[in-house]
Amino acid sequence: MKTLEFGIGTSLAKILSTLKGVEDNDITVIIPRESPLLENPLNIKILEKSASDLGKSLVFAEGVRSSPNVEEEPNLEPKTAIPSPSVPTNSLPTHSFEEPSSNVTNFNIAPSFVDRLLRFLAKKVRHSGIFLIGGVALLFLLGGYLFLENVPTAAINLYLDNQELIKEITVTGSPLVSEPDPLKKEIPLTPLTATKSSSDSAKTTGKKTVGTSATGTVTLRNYNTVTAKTFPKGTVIKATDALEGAKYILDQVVTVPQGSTSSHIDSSGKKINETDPGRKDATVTSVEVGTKYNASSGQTFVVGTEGFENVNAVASAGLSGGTSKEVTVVSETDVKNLTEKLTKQLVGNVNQEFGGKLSQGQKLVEGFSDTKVLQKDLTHQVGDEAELFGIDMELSVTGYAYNSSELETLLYIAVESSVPEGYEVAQGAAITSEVLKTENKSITLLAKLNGYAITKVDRENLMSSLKGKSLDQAENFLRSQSNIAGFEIILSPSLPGFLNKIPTNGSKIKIEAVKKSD
Amino acid sequence: MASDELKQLLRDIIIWRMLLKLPSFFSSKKQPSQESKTSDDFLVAEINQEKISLGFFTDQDTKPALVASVTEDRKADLFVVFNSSLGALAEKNPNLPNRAIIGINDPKIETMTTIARLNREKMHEEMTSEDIERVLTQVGEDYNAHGKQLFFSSVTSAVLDGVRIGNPIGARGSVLELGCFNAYLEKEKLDLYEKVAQEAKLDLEKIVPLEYCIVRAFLDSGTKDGILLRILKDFTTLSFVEESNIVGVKTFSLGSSEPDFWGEGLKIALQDFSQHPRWPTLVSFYDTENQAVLEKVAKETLEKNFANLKEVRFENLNTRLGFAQFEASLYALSVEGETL
Repeated sequence: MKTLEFGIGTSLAKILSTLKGVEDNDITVIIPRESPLLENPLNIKILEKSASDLGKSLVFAEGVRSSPNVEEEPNLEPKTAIPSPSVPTNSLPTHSFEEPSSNVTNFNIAPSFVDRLLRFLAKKVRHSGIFLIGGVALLFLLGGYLFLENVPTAAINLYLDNQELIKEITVTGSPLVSEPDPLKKEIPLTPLTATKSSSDSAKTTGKKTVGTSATGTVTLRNYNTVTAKTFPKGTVIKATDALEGAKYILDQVVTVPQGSTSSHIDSSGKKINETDPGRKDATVTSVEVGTKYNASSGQTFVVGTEGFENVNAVASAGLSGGTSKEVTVVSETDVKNLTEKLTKQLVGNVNQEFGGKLSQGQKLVEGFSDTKVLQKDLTHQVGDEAELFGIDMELSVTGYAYNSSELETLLYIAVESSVPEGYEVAQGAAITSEVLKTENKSITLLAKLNGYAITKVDRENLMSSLKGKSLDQAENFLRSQSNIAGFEIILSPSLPGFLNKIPTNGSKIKIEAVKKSD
Repeated sequence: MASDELKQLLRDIIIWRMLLKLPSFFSSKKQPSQESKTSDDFLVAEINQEKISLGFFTDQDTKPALVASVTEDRKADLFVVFNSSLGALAEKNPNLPNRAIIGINDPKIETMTTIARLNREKMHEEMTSEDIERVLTQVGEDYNAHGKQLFFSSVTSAVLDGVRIGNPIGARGSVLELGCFNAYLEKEKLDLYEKVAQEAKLDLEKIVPLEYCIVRAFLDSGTKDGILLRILKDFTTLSFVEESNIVGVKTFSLGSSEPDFWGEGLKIALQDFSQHPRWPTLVSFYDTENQAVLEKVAKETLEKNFANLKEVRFENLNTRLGFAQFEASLYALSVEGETL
């Protein structure tokens, strides 16, 4: 049995590390009662399970305040006075683990700084002399060279003849296209896909009439004296008179026997024939629900396609039980509307997410996406009675983005034919684009360039001709160029006399073509 | 030799410059401005085991906007660091508001989530805030929190007659099921946080459990299930979220400083949820440094110990929500400020 005693600020990782290194399998662990580790039972569980995984058995003894050789870390909370129960010392070997003491270096800063500064300056003075003067002169020359090479800049604005340039093209974007095609004016669309789920609820608006059918017994009467009549289950019988139009069906197969004829001589001596119809009772149910299908006794009915004189029926005791009421149900429109609302919301969320995923120059095509419903759960089905219903939907949305630089390239290629000979498109043209229409798998974009064509200037030649020239030389040279209408040279900083010239370092010369003002 | 001396001189100059800055650290505490006390501004403080972060928010039409924020390690007494952080925030913007909410992450917080079912006899009458309050109070009082005090209570979900609804107030129906989240903490600890605010001359409006707010931000982003992990240097907080409900929150004293031991802690913390029927497949890190290393350890730990977590995905919640390292918590807490 080994006893390990830890300080109040010992970390859980440190205790675990120590346990790993101990060979004994039975270990008593002493942690001070005030240790923050003991505030959380999960920490103790971690110690126990980790020890168990190592094949060790832990016993926790009640902690004491750490002994003087166990360093305490500063308690982060104001200390509350928790009495520390004393734990009797036993004869078991005890190991105290100290946290490494903080590595503090004491700086005696002020004297050290002053001493060293004085020593440094004194040494510099001792070594002064010819070498120092020579070195300083060399430094000045080197510094001057580096300054002239790297600091002065020249901004040369060339005023050039220009023509307004406006060009519009329609471009087709499609995910089926892999590369921009200047001839077909097509650019590729990059698909972006994300999955989102959401749920929402709405009030139902559908109406439905529910209730019970009227039922009862009718007596079918067959006036045919030759043959019996059989009517299958479901035969429709229609009410006459006041209830005309109300339909009922037979609940079972019914065979009505044929009627019989009898004769007698009346008081005037005339022979009278009388037909007594064959009768059979059967139960019927109204086709629709509602109180209006309840019938009073004596109500007569036409049976199937038989003529009333041949076969009819009568409700001797009436029909009853028909009831109805109107209830609110989930309608197809409700489901459609809520689905559309959720879809719109999810697509909006996804588009927002896509916005953060776009790389430099990519533009998301608004209102052009493919959606696929991955899962759609309804709390109630269409036709179910409910005041509220909800939909839980998971949607996969594919949006499309195009690269604006590809669109610009097509635009510049298209505009080339409109640029007069000897001219070129000036930088800084305004380029706009808008989606004209979206189709099944493609979009049509209207791209517009609004800028100027300016006279062509060979900037590289110009630069190499101007490098290192004095201001006068540079101005004379530019004046001699027939394609340059005017110019402006700005040298910075302004240096005296012979130093005021175009830098020899090409990276310090900036030539910009500016449209000549009207 | 001269080069060494020059280096030494430079070091001394740097130390001198540091010393020159010290007086501002020891200077008297910056107090929130009395003039700037408006109803729309508020302070948010996050106090966790290792850091204190403060954010100054102004409540705009759509959502609170962060004006300024600071974070500081808790290398000294809580009161000292809090005041120092407040001073640093005042240096960024002197017009600090007085109203404040404090978000805490304390291993002694006890949380309880439950579904309270309310059978309404008067189903045709509209539900009122008093009805909801009555349910919450009942649920809060019924729970045995081992002597701890209820300090935060919230409705997490509402289902009326089987349909999930956004706001039960004003709705009609017969059976209302409310998802309730309550948090409890010892009175002494709550008094401590109140004293921190009091000494800083702040009007403490509420104390909220930090992880609840984080989980809510996570859910608001459209995700319903996840294991959320905040890993500090020596502390980890794990929130287990399933079907938009907080199943449980665990903390343990292992963190990014010892990734190998941290994996062991993660395993044991997750074992407490082993009986849960359904496990999230998304592990979401937030306010965590050194995520790449910890993600690797987490992946190995999960694959080795939890058969039902093989297809797990990892993400950084800060990145997804577009927040800086410590600002995710501040933004999550600021939502509480909207209701001040």
